[in-house]
Amino acid sequence: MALMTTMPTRGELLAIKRRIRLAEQGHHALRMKRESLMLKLVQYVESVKELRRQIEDEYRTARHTFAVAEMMEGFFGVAVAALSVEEVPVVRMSWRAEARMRLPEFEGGSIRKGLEDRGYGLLGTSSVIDEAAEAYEGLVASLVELAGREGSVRAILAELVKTSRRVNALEKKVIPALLAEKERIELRRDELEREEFSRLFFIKKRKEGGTGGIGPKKG
Amino acid sequence: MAEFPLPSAPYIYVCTRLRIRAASLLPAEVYQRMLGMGVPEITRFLGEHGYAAEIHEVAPRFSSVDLVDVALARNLAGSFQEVIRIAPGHLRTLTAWYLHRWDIVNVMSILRALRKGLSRQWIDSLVVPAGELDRAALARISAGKTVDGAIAELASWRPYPTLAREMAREPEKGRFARTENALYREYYADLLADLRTGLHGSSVLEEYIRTELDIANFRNLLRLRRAGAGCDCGAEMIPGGTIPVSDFGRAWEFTDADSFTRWFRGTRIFPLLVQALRTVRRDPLLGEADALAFIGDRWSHHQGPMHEVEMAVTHARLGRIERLAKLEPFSVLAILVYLERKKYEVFNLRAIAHGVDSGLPADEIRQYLVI
Repeated sequence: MALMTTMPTRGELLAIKRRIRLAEQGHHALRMKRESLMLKLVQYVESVKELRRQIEDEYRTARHTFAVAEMMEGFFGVAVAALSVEEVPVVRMSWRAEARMRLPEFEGGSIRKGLEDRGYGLLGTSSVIDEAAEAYEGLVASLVELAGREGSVRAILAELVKTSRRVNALEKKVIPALLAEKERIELRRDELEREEFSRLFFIKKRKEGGTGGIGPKKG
Repeated sequence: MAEFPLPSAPYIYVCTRLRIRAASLLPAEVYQRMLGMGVPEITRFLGEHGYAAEIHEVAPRFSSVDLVDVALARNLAGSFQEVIRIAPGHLRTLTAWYLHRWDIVNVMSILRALRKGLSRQWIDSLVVPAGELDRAALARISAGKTVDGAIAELASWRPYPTLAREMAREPEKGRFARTENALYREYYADLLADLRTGLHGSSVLEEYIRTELDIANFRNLLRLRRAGAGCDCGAEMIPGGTIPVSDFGRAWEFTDADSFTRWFRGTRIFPLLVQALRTVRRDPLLGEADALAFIGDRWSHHQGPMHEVEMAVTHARLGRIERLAKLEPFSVLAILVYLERKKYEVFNLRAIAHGVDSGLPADEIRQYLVI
């Protein structure tokens, strides 16, 4: 904020003091916001880490069930079962408000399916296909959830950076500049007061001393 | 049931030829050795043991484990097609119908692939022409370009009325699954009807098929239980086994393990399960109570079938049919033994290749082999 050189008047001093008060209140509020964002970020990061660990386990399980399915049905047996899928999973995105932010939320549709919804006949397949399908459905559902949480982490992080920038700007630029300007005005006003005082003092002396007293000497 | 007179020379020739072929299939110890190989070594090994032609045929388009998978499928298809070609008279009809299940798999694969708009090259890789419909016939069907076009090409196919009827039924959702189930039900009904013609060994084959149906229905009952789905037993079970479909419907209603195991103990597949569990757990003294506890546990915890037990059951049944085939060497059993043994040789080789490629330990891969 560029501060223009202001007149050292009482009005200006009051205005500066109001602005300082406002800046300090804003600074306090933004600091509180930054701290709450950091807490929220830590919570989300922990949940993302936990979910990632869970996804790694689910992926290992899914790979194992897939390997078993390929062993028992062959690659093409599994491929044909995959071709049977009639309902393709969809992912719907929405926004939710939290801590005055818009966080993304993903919701999967037709990801987890029942045996009757997968499209393959019970009589032409074996249970290894069920297990592999179930494992990958769970994995995809977890990945959709992870996408939402990671999106939220990014949104919170962006908001945190923006807030930190504002806090720092207030702390290091705006408030010091306002305080400096206030001090300048006060000092100038003090100086003007002293000058006024001296001027009045001399005038008074002159009036009291008539031709004598301190004053410019003639001659 | 009327029995045909003594088998003729062509029958004797075919049965002998297939018995020799069955005897030359890979023995169990070879699979054990292959568990220590990598995929390239397995490929080379197969090239040296009867799969060279197929490997060279598909090598330009596939590599690694896909090469092994496709080569094995083509070899299986070629072997089965040759059995249909050399089998005489009614034996040929029976063999073709027995292998008709592959036609169902191929037709449904083509229809699904066409619905997804896959290329001809992809469709060509998907099919295993091990049934009556050879590669040329399947290519004609997939040239239809649309699902309706492909169905029209199948007008002369024996199950065409069922196919056309089910594919036209509403609702559209689940149509392919319903059609597939209907085709399998019709297949088994016709196969059992064909077996009652009195061919040598056909009564044994009929019992083999009926036990196969019992095992398939029981397995699907456990699958439905595990999935928490409802059981429309009329649509999801295949009639014709020794256990009526209505019995499975009754069993579905049992919520406690005791009632379920009491019912299961009275079925004809219970002794098979006991024998299979003894093999899997390597405990010849395992008793019926342990087997019932095993099944009861899986029922009450909504667990699906256990694959190792399935493999052991299959192995036990194969062993039994082989012993019976020795008693009736010039019967349809000789053909059945070869077809099943060849199918499971390819199954085992494919399982080993995929298991090794996925990095699974040898002990785990062994559980999924029929040896």
